[in-house]
Amino acid sequence: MVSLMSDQENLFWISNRMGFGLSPSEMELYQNQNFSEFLGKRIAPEKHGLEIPADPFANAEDFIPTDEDASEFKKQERAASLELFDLWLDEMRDTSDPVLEWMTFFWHDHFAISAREIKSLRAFVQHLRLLRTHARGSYPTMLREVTIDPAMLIFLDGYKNTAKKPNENYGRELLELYSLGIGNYSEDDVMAASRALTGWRVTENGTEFKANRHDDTPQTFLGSNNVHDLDTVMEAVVNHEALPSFISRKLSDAVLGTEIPDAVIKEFATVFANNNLELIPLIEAIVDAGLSMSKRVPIIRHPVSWLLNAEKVTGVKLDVLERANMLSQMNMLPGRPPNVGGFPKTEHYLSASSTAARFSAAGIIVSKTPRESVALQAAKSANWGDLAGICGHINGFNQPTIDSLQDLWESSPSSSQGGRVCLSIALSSPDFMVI
Amino acid sequence: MSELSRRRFLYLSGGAAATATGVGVWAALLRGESEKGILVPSSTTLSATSTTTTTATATTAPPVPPQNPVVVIVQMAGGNDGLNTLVPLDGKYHSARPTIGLPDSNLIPLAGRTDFGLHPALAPLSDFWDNEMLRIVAGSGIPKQGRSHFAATDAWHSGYTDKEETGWIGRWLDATEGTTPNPLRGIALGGGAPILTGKTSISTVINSPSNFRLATPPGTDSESVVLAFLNTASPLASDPALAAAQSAIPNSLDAIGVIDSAKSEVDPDPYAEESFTSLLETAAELINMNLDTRVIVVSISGFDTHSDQLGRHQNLLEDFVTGVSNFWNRIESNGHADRVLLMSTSEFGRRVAENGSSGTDHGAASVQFLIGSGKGLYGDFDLGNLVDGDLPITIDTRSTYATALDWLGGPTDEILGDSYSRLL
Repeated sequence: MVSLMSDQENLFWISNRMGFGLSPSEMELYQNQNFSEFLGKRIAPEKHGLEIPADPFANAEDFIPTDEDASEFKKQERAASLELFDLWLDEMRDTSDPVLEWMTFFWHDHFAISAREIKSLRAFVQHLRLLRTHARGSYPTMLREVTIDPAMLIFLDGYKNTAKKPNENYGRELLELYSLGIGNYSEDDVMAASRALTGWRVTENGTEFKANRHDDTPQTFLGSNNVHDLDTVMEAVVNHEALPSFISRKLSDAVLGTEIPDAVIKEFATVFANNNLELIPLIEAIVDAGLSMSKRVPIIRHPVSWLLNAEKVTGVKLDVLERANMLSQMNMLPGRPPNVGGFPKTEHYLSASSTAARFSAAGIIVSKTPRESVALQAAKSANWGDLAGICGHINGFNQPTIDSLQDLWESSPSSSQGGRVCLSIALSSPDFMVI
Repeated sequence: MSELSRRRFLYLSGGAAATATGVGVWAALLRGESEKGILVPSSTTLSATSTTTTTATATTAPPVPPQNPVVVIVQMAGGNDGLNTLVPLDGKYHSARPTIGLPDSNLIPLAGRTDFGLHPALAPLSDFWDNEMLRIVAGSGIPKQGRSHFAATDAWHSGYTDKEETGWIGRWLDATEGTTPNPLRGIALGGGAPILTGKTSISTVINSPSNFRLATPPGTDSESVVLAFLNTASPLASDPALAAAQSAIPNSLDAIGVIDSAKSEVDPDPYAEESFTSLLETAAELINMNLDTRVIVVSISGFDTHSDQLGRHQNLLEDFVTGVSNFWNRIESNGHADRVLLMSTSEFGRRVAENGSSGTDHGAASVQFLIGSGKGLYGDFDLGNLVDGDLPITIDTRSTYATALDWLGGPTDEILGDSYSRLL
């Protein structure tokens, strides 16, 4: 990796693009480390002998209600779902392995199962564990497991897909959204995949295959003959030439922004394909390209990234309902992607509503910011350079933001109040929305 | 520069002197063109000072567009099952749908028609029909739209099946925007609407009108904090992403001033979604406020009924018709009904034959409703000539777009790239 940027810039870049920003103490901890070594550990901690943090949902079974006949069941389930996503957000914010949580969230947007749609929190937790287990492992393994994951079988009707009358909901999205992309398969392929994937059911403990509901007729699928079951469908999909580019494009868009030319994506795809569709080499290739760019192209960050970075910068721990409120108004409530295509795309994060919600959220965050917060201290003393650095803009804020902060600070009745309102403007500023 | 940022850039930098259109107060303030005194655009100020622009006259198309016409688009997202919405009285229908077919005796008759009936949940639509205010389009679709939600949605939004990054309403907003941009001419309620994406015009997206407000930290001077927020937006940075984030600020502040008085009650439950009915109530209020709003887009989702369709579809259509009837009552009592055309859309219909899960998979042609002046049933569900198990397209959806664009005053053919027949 040859980078023209300073190590500190690179540190922020990777922490924002494949993580949820840095807290002041993390910054202190990391900035004197050798960047290449840091990066290696960050992307693939296991390779460097580091331990992977425990599953944040480890105790979920304790609070997910199971007695569906209980009068309070619905209420309990809603509380449990809030609790669950709050635990996940805490982990994203505090983890020592941000790439893992970032990738898990990326796959949540990719497979985009809505906890509300599937109406089973237990299945949803199991699904999140699955995503987390394979988040930077083997894509073919993850795709195979997702295909017969109870949450997915419920979400896209796979459990109702039978030999007698196949339901093509999953078969279509498998090809369009999860592997090849539109234009790389035919309607006949959708039907063939659906038939070959018949017979899977959801049980108390997971998934089972019922041979008497399965259509074992050999199908022609993506040009292969004799495709008739899960294994043969998966084999044809993962060997299709469109898959490496499709997944590389999706991950690259999320890390580098959507302006990357097809020729570069093709290079990523080649690395991905040559490594048996293992994700770490793909991540490394994308990050390496990002760090080597002669000029950094800022991208708009998504609301979860914004909120967690604001918490990290200020040291605030919001409560469950505050977070849920903010994120739902900003259109990105974990566990609730609005449709099978995932969360809304970048420009919706700048909609009139999201912008207003961000401003209001920043106000709540600063009213809870502890007095000793270094971000608050910097704002109180009108030290905009330091404040920008803490917010991840080590070259300073944009001039309009600096001018606006200075005016507001000067017109405030006290430095203490001026510090808080200026911090809220810094957090809601356009600068803090781009990474 | 990306399309998005270019549009926003043009919005902020463009425009000659701001006139007293009553909107864009924050944006005007940013350009130093408004009196410093007006800090928070209150809705009273807005409606009191609002004027309306004159739209171009249509070259074709009766009925003659009214003054200040409005089109409300209701997107039934997920692919509405046209066949169980407008039901053909045809044996082929029943043989294709042994479990989810609706019995003829339950259907709502349409006076004068013996070939179709409406889903029982749609009973309130028969009043519109009887009052010459309902046009029904059977077999609507865009050729080659496909069975993918996303490809078909793109086709319906743009009006083309090739890659087109603008929406058909966005192109109309571009073609007709005045010298002072007004982002409230096109408003989406309940979520983003690619249909409104233009090249130069910008529109406003409000996820949840009842939660759309600004809160400042307790004990602070709200006006100065809001002003500081606004000031971070100008002058625009050369970087497109940063410029886009800057431009979003005045747009948001302007919209808040307006929506604040149009929204229905606050619902504090973060998980509660704004109901379709309450979104349409907000739409009715916006029309009543004379903000020069021309197009409002509202979505109702959940139509992707791959399984257990009967009950789900019933509920969806009930929500749809309740929201629409309530909306129409409101605009009628406010005296605006004559200038409003409401049109339903959905990315595709569903397969004629039901699947094994008491549902239906993605299909092709479907049904659209146009509510407002005019009556008729156009097109057909041609069950004898299915294409891959789907209803064939008998009316190009762009005919309905042409009809709506005529209502708005055109230039229709220019926007659609061709001349499509109108639903006369």
